[in-house]
Amino acid sequence: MEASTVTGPAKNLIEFCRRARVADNRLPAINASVATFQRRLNNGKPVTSSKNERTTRAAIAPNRFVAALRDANVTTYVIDERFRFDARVIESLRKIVEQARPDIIQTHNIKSHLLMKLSGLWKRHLWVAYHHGYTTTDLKMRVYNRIDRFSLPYADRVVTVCDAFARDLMRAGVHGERISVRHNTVRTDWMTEQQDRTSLKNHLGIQETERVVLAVGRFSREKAITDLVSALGELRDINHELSFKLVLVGDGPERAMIENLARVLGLIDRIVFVGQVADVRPYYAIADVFALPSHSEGSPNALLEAMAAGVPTASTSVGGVPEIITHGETGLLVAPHDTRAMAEAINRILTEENFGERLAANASALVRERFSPEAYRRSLVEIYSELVSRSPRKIYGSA
Amino acid sequence: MSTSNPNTCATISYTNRDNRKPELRVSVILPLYNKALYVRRALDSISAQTFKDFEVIVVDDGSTDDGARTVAEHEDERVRLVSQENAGPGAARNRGAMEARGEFLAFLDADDEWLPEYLEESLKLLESYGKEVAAITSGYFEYPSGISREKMWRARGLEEGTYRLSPEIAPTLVTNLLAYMSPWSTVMCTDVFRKLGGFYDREKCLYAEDAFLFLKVLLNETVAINLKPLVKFHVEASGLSKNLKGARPIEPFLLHPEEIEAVCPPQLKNLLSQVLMIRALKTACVLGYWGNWREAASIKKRFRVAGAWRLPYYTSSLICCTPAGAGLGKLWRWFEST
Repeated sequence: MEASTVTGPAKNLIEFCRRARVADNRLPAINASVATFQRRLNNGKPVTSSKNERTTRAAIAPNRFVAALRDANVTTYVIDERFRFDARVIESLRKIVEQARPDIIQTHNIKSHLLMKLSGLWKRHLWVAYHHGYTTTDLKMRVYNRIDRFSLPYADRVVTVCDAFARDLMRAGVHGERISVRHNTVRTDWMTEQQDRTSLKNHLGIQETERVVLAVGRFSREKAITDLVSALGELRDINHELSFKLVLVGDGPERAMIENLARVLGLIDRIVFVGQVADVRPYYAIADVFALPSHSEGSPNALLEAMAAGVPTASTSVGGVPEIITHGETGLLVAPHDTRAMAEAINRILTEENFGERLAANASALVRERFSPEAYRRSLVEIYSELVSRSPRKIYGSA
Repeated sequence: MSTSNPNTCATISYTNRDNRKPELRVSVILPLYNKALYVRRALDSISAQTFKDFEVIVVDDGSTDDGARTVAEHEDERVRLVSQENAGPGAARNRGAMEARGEFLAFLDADDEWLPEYLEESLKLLESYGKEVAAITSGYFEYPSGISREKMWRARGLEEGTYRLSPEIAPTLVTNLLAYMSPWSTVMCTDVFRKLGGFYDREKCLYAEDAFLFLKVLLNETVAINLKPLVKFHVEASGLSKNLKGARPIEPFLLHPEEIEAVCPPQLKNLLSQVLMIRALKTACVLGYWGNWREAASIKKRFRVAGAWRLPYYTSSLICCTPAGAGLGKLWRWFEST
């Protein structure tokens, strides 16, 4: 797994490692350890690491992902990568596998998929590859898909986050029966303590009577926050009486464009830029509607979080979103790019009597049932048990 | 047109004018910035128009020469002079449009000329095409050579008639239409101009401030193309876009694509992103040629679309967005200068 910060997929992995350690309800315990790459920042001498960490080579200062893993008490191997495309990491990987003797190896991104294939480890070990989808479009994605086409068909199982990606994988030559779809998860006990709504609203300069539209995420192009801003411009035209504020949690390259558009549309005083925050929960607590205007998504964590937090949602029907949301039942779906439809959806949630509450109640019930980490863990453990029982010859040591 | 609230026009407010019936057929707007040498020629060509029902608003954009006096001395009672602090051609034209009383707007730059039948023919065509046509653009003779560019535009796929964008239209046709539309050869409906917020008028923008508006027009309205040359376009006198040494500035619609996207109908968003990508690739090539390959790469990245490799300029942008491209550009300039 390669990650420098705690991203969506990383969060799920840590959660899984934490939960899988103990056996319960007939499920076997899984002892998970994680190997991750860290590139040397300068070609200077490596820093000596503390002794209790089993590192292949002396590591540099741990990044946030490694730190989070250690916080969760997960055995972590850091592979020292001297430079980009360092071939020696294959050897390091083999050594780690030798040492850890895993029943199953799972890989999480294009690089680990490729290394798994190149190292030949897939011949002797059960391999579960996780495909999280790529956010880039265009040439880079085409190259990535090419590389995945080379490595992924050799995996014993490919786990992906939504049916839309599963179809892409099948097109890329992965055998259909080897693909499993497991959506992302959110902890249901996540919104526990009663949040202090009024003081946060005051702090952000929002009147008690003003309705709050919330969007959470990286401000990159495919997240299309600018679409949401234009939608709010139309919302103002549709419903003059409605007083609302847009709270934007996150940051990214499109920030300046969002501000400019808001200024041009005369919406700048209706938008609160919060920036990146460590804990998003209080913002979900003050939200009256959560909007997801993205042009492409897999299985969006923010949407699941909003649903768990009991906030009604209006989203674009892209990627795995329509697999999570049933239009009119657990949320509202609109076509991507269609700002007018997004405005109408938000207006409906904010104005129609009891509608938002009904959506939110259905959504949080759904999340509890289908998107809990416990359900995720159970289904993954089932996949693993099935794999182990079906192909014993690949288990380490029996060859 | 989705965003039809008055706030769209950030710097222009048209209140109390919206409901008034237009008093005139055409308002001619002439932005003037240090063009005392040429402005008489331009005004003469306006006064000589065979069509007579118009007013002329000359906007002196903070000139430091005596161009304003030339305008004041011009004997035509239809001419008015408005002065403002220097703010760039887009802002000057918008100021003129704010004062305009005509049903249509026509723009002429101080260094260019119209043929006498320009307004008459443009209005006749607008009338024959009917009310849904929002703008008409005519052809031009390029001076000092005096050749008509009609053949070139026909080769680029333009034909006489009306155009309304649909998702199936080739993005290259849109970029050609956009390149063809210039303020000095376009007569457009005043209401549409105001509704879409006018030209780009911030940062004293000197390049493609008109395309910022015309792209919005193309996305939302029907436009007519007339290939017959009716304007004399003087390249030699132009101080702005054509005679720049060094990399031209980045087009405003690439700096603020979100403003275009905000008024783009949903079914045309895909077409728009391809059009923007073509222009981004072209701009990336220019930036790379002048040595700024990092910015070239970042602009290309911002506007990437699926299937970009099929678009024009893609191959050259592959080189231009690297230090090698910048090096080649330097080499070429050195080669040219010796």
